[in-house]
Amino acid sequence: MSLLEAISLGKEFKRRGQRSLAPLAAVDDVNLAVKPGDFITITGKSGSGKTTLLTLLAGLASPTSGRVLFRGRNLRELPDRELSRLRNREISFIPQGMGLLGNLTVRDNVRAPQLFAGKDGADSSRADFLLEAVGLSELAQEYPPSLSGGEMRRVAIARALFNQPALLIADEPTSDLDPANTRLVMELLRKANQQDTTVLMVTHEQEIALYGSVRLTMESGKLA
Amino acid sequence: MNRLTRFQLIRCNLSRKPARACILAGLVALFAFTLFCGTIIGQGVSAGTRLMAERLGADVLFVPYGYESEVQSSLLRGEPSSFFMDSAFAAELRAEAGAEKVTTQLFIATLKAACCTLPVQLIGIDPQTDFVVRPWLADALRRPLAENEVLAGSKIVGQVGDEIMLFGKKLTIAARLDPTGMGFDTSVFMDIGRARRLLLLSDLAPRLNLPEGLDRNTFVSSTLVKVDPATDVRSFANDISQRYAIPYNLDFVMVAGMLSDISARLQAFSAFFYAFSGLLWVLAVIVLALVFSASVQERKKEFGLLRLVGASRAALARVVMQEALLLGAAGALLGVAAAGVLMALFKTYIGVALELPSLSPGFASLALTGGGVFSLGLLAGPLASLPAVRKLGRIDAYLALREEA
Repeated sequence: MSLLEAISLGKEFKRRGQRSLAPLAAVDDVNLAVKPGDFITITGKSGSGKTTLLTLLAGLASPTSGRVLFRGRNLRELPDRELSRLRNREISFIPQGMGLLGNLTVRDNVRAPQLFAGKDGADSSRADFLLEAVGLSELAQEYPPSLSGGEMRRVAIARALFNQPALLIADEPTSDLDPANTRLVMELLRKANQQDTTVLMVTHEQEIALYGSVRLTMESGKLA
Repeated sequence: MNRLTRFQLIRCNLSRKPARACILAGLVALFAFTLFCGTIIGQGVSAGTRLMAERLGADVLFVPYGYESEVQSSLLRGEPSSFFMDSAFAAELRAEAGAEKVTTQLFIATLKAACCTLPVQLIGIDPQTDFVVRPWLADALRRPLAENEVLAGSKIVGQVGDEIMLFGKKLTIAARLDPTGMGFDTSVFMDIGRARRLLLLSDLAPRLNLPEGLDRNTFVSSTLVKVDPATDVRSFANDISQRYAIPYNLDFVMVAGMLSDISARLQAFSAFFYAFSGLLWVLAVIVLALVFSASVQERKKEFGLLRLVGASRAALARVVMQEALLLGAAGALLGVAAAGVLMALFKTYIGVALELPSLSPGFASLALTGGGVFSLGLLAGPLASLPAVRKLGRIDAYLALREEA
């Protein structure tokens, strides 16, 4: 059984100020089955719809057509509370860019999922364990603005792994990073995958895509 | 191990812009301060007036012509003054139909007294006929006042048995009065005959300008009358005034009129404070609403990230509302505390400045008012956050993330 499944998935956007034109299909009739333990990489040029696809798969946006099933449940039919709980416990998302909360320390950023986990979820000691794992223990009490891009990305990965999610979705996790940091980040994702976390990531760098056990390409909203 | 709580997140969010947080809390504090002060002062004056009406006893005060305002100032605020009239009038009044009780008092202003920070009014009372001061006696006194004894108002420093110096004489406090909220609180009372003798023997005597023909052994300052319940007070006062005003050179003050004047001033005072407080509350809500609403736009990426880690729309709304609640609570607490301290430090001066009888409200009343004002301040926050919460509901985490990229 698939962990995540996209069936005839589509997302269209109205073109601002150009209502006479047909809507733009950012994601067009995508079918995808993600099995537990997969490491899927999706490559594609900028504007090919990669990020839009990820947000649909994470339940952050609603599709115009088709459906996304997580463990057989249609995300669109889940109430916001339930969907949020899924994002807290089972589907982690590493956004493109410097996705950290500037008001919180590095350690608090890692354990931020605790804010919305109620009494469930991991203990704070897991934040220390993960910071150790990503090599940032000494920066635990620092604030994000004092970190480098690579460090920020590693903190975001640590946060994404905090509740030991079943699925980790990463949007261009190595963009703007130097080769050393790129390798470090990819090794972290590979290690997470080896420890039973299914990974789905998009990148525009072909060599990065080689880390994936399943490699897909996206072009003009279509997945191949 | 401790978990990261939403309170920590809210505290971090607020401390990110401390100046803004302080200004917003300050607005709520200003409202709470104004409303608390206004309410407490209003309650104090209201209680003072009510108590005065209940226990003053007299309906009409006859005083020398031209001294109506002096007797009011002395009764209401304890402003010391000295004025004199013939006591024979009281004797004639007792024979008049409708006069249920008649007593006389002698008002003597002391220049300075060792007991007190404020000037003291010495009031001579007639123990045989007094019905005005006796009801205020806190300590039972079942014997006549001795030659060197006085009754002390509630704000006169000293306990029963202590000595105070007046006109160079040591006098013993025989009993104390309950707080009255009016001039009696800063007055010292003694037997009218002894007060008269004390005055005539004092350094003040040559400067008193006692009217010619006034009997030096019997002069008084005012004659107080309790009118028979079956008699109309105004008609009685007018009738007496018509017949005795010229021979005794006197005028009268109706206690009911005096109280209605206080009541009108109290109403005007309260209306002003409540209107001003209301305006400040509305202003605080509007400013808070504008700032919170603007900050939603500014914090779109942050909210998008919180959605990523599992915040539902309702949870995000709670974060914003709790931030507003915390600001409101801090402001309201600060305002009420500052007002409470200020009122406690300056209550005497506030009473004097208001020129109205005033009583300090009890702890229960203070707590109730403080609680009410605090609740209103508290309410300002969440209420002001409603537009921001509404805006938050329309934020698309997907778009917010794209902006983050």
